[in-house]
Amino acid sequence: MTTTSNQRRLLIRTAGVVAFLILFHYVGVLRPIERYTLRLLSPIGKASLAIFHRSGHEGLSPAELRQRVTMLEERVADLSVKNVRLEQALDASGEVTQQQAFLQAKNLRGVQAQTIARSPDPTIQYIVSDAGNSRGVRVGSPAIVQNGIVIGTVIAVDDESSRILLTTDNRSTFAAVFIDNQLAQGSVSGVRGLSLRMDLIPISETIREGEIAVTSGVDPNISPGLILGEVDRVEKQQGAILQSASLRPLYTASRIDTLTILTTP
Amino acid sequence: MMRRLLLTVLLLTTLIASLFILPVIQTPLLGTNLFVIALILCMLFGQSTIATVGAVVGGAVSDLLSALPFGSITFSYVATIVIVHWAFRARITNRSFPAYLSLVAMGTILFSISVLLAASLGKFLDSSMVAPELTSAFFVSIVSLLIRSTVIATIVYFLVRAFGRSYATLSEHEF
Repeated sequence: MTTTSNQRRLLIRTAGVVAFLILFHYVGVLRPIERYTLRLLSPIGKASLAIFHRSGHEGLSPAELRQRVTMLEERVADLSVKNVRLEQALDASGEVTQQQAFLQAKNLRGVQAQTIARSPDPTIQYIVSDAGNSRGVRVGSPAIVQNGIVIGTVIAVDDESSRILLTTDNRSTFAAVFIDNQLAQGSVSGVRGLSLRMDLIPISETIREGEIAVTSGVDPNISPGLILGEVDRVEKQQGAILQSASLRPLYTASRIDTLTILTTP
Repeated sequence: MMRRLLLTVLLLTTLIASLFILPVIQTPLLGTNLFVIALILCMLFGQSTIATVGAVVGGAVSDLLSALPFGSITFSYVATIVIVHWAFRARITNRSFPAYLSLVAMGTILFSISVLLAASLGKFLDSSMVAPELTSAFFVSIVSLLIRSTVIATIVYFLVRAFGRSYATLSEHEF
């Protein structure tokens, strides 16, 4: 038997295996194998995060870090004054407790989840969590961290895992409004995995740097009041009827370890 | 036997690094397809069967942890290794450094384009799925990926030549 015919045979067999893999996945035959494979891989992902986890502030000097912390502390205090009920429910002693306190304050239900993998492709921003169908996660459910900061929405879900597209991805869009100005509504979308942009804001509304944009509740399955980002820069053109704003996300993608996926709108 | 074992370990290590370590540590290596480079190395060591099986298994595992339509990455790895193998046998036919680099470059470009095509087809069939977008950023990312992959492949090549005597002595019939 010649080498060429061996290779042709290998190629045909490989093509057959790939075709059956894809077919069986979508039919559901492979679900138990996928479930066990993910259970096997989850500890590796979590261990990798635990070992290689870094501060989300790479590249900033200590002085810049202190300045940023001070600015964020002032912003947190300002938000707390505006939302008295949320401030009473908050307990600053941990990520999980913060998320649970937020859920209680807003009368929402959600499932705690952990990140097991991140996107290896920098052109698509997503994370893989260890919560899936079996725990009530559905496509379109928002995922939050800390005190209601939305990090993305579930775009694909299996029995025991889900893929969450981050808000900074180009494909993410949210209907949004400013926390201080309910008339300033617009659409927030991700920009190249780095920041957010809010468009379609009426020119008649005054937007200032530092204002917080939140979800407006127009999107299905997404509760109103989830924090999207903070205004970094306002962009207006003379004679235009709409304005835009660049937003800074209030989470660091590389620091997402524990999150909550909301199961009630 | 030892060569097959080492190549299998190499494939497993690069797969785990690509999926779980590089995305976490956020280095310039992020996005560099180490697994494609490892598959090409396997092929150059005369183990095209291990490379093909590795492409299927590695692709399936990557698909489980991917937001792209299932099968996009498996199909892309297999298509890449098959086409690179054909190019090696039919056109390049030697294991010199320029030949190796050109195979790595070809594999990198082929993989990116295959993922784009396969994921776009999946998105066409189900619009709720995510796929890479054919924008200027996509082409910029391919160029960036090419440069990084070339650098990594160069380092790997000289390491293999320095520590692996068998690479230089592989005979033609092993392919």
